[in-house]
Amino acid sequence: MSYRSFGISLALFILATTTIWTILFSLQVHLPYVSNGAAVVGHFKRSIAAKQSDYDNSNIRIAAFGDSRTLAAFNPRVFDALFAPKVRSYNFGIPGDSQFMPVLKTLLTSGTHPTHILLQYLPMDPVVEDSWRKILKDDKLIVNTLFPFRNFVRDLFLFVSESRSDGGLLAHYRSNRDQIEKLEKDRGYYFIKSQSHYAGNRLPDGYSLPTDRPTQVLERYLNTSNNGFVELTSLANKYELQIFVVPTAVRPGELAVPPEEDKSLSDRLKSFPQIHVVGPAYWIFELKYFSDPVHLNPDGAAVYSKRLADLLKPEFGN
Amino acid sequence: MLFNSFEFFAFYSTFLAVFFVAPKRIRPILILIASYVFYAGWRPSFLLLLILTTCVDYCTALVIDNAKRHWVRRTALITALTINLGILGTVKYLDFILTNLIGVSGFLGIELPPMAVNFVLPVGVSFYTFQSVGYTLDVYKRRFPAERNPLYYAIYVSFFPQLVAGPIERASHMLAQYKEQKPSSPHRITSGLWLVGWGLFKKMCIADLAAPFVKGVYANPSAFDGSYTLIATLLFTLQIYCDFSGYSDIAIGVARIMGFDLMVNFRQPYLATSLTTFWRRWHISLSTWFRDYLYLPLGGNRTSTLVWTRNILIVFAVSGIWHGANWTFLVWGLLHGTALITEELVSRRRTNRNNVLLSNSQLVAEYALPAKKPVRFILGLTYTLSFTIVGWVFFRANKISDALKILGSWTHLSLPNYGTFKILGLPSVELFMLAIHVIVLIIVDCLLAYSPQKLSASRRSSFISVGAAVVLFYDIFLFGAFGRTDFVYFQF
Repeated sequence: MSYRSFGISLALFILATTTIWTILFSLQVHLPYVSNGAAVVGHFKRSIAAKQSDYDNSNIRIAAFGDSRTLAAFNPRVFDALFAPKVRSYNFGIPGDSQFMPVLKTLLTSGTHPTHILLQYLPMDPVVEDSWRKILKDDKLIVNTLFPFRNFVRDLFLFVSESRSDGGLLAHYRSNRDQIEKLEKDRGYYFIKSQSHYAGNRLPDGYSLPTDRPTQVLERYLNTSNNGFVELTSLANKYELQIFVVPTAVRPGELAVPPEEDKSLSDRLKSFPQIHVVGPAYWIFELKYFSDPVHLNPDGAAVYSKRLADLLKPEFGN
Repeated sequence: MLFNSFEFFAFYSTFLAVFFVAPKRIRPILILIASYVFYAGWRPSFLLLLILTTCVDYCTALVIDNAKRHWVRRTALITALTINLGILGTVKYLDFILTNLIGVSGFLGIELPPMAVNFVLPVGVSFYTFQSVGYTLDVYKRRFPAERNPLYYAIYVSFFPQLVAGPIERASHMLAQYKEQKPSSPHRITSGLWLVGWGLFKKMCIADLAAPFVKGVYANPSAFDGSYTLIATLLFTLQIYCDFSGYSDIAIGVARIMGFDLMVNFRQPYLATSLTTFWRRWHISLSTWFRDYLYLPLGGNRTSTLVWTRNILIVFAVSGIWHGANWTFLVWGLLHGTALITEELVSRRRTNRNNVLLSNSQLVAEYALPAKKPVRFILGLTYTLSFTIVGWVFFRANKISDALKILGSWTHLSLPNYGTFKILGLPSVELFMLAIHVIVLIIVDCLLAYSPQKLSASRRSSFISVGAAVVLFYDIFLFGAFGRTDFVYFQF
């Protein structure tokens, strides 16, 4: 191989990769609802936090944070109705994202900020300081920056396969768009339909997984020296936030039944008066309330939101 | 610094830019600096151990080479072996020995307090120690003169492309290359890039996609029924091959771009039709190391059947325990050793026994697809692959009891549940892409084994070649697993 043919091959390679990059990038920009629910929901919620358009001047303004369990469990409409008209809440659960601090910070600096925070879990990941050395070691960040359509291509596979049972590509695209519009109306609550594969969006009787730990009580993570936690308490002081660590919902047999009060976590948080642990670490919900192994269906979400409202009644009043 | 990281990409690109413009005489210094920076990236203190190994073997080899009296040569050799294997034994096996000692004492009714030392195993210590020991033994056996220039010897021990997971090179193969420094060429760069790309594909698009599922099931095998443990074992069979051969391909490619040739470490081992041929194709640099420095000195096959049997068992037991301080590795090694002996005795190929651990050059002729005996070929392939898969259960399991549980679970297979795949890190897209990647791997491996000329011919066409490179590029970046996953063999 001569230097000339090497040069030609290299030029062809660069040309082809650049062309493909441009095409994929354009597709991603122009077809936002091809992306999977998690990506669209995450994007939408971050933009809502920045716009800060949803809170009115209610006395109690609640922001619920967590991952997809919270997203599919906490229905603000059901919850707020039980405290009407003084409570206004919003579901900021983002699928697959345990880092809620950036969204919370955006929310606090964007205008009418929440007064109360509901947390599925306390900060787990330390807040990452951006430095070039840390960025160089963060391969996921680099690859997602260089190829912003990376997830889009994966989602395209799912989109095409799911569209067959949803009346074709166009109909499926519209259906995804409608779901996001509904998410907006439902103030962040989202039923994860794409992962529901059972009749009536209910898990069948006797459903279990090999990963279940029916004899284990799950303890919630807490590291008070984690800089994410330190930042959370400092924000709570600065903005006079009341933070509630609330239970999630798990399937029967997924974990052992926990004590009614999570004394262990409350005791460890005693020196942080702005953080309150309410209820158990998790509730065991019947299988009929789950649409898939992890997420609640709309009926489950309604029950969950009511139970949460009951739990928080002493705090917010009737 | 992992090959499959942007950090390594930045390091290597910077190094190449400096290396190619630097005058030839300072290139060895650049290689050594880069190798030490590369190794210190894991933990700077590890570098001290590497330098110690280098100094010990450099000095003792000189003493061995210069000494006229046999006892001086012998003392120098024993000193080198004691230090090298002493370091390896201490950092790698001390806790294992202490744990077992406590266990045995407890069994005998003597209670000993916990004595774990918890050394952090320096990455690649087994590889560079073996490479260095091999050199000292070569000098002692007068197969190779001692290297006088400490710079070249230091590069030989620490050459960054193969420092942490091989191939375990020979001084006779590498030292001459460091001195000669062949200029790189477009052909070498292109073939090096292909190897790097193919290695990354195997590592990131197969091994790392399969890894979470394997890890999840093997962490708690009792929780899963036979279907999951079987699938996890099949996936581990792919993972270990793609991870390690992927690493070797990247190492060879990285070195080739710089102008150096490393030895081939894998030759499509899962296409072997007997365990004998499997071991000629799997981790070739370690197999040939054991052949030259353990099997042949023990007497090889030029002895009675009983002694030959003993020799094979010793080699495989040592090879097993080389992989890690756990009884599971020993069982894995002995299992293969026993099967190899049985296979050899049954096939009555005693005249070829020495070929159990063959040299690379003898391998090429073994690839002819036996079109005339397809049934025998398929049976051989099935038997070898099945045995290898069973062996991997012991290799991967945390305890022998876990391995036995897994094997026992295969008697009850049920239909696997998609939800479990998803929870264990193989959702639909990953599962689909993994299947596609495995098909590509099988096709390419078959072409490499049975029809390499077809692959070479296709690479001569610019359009096909560039097209394949673009597909490989996007496949890695869009579907590969990113996020700093170690290579499996780093732990050894």
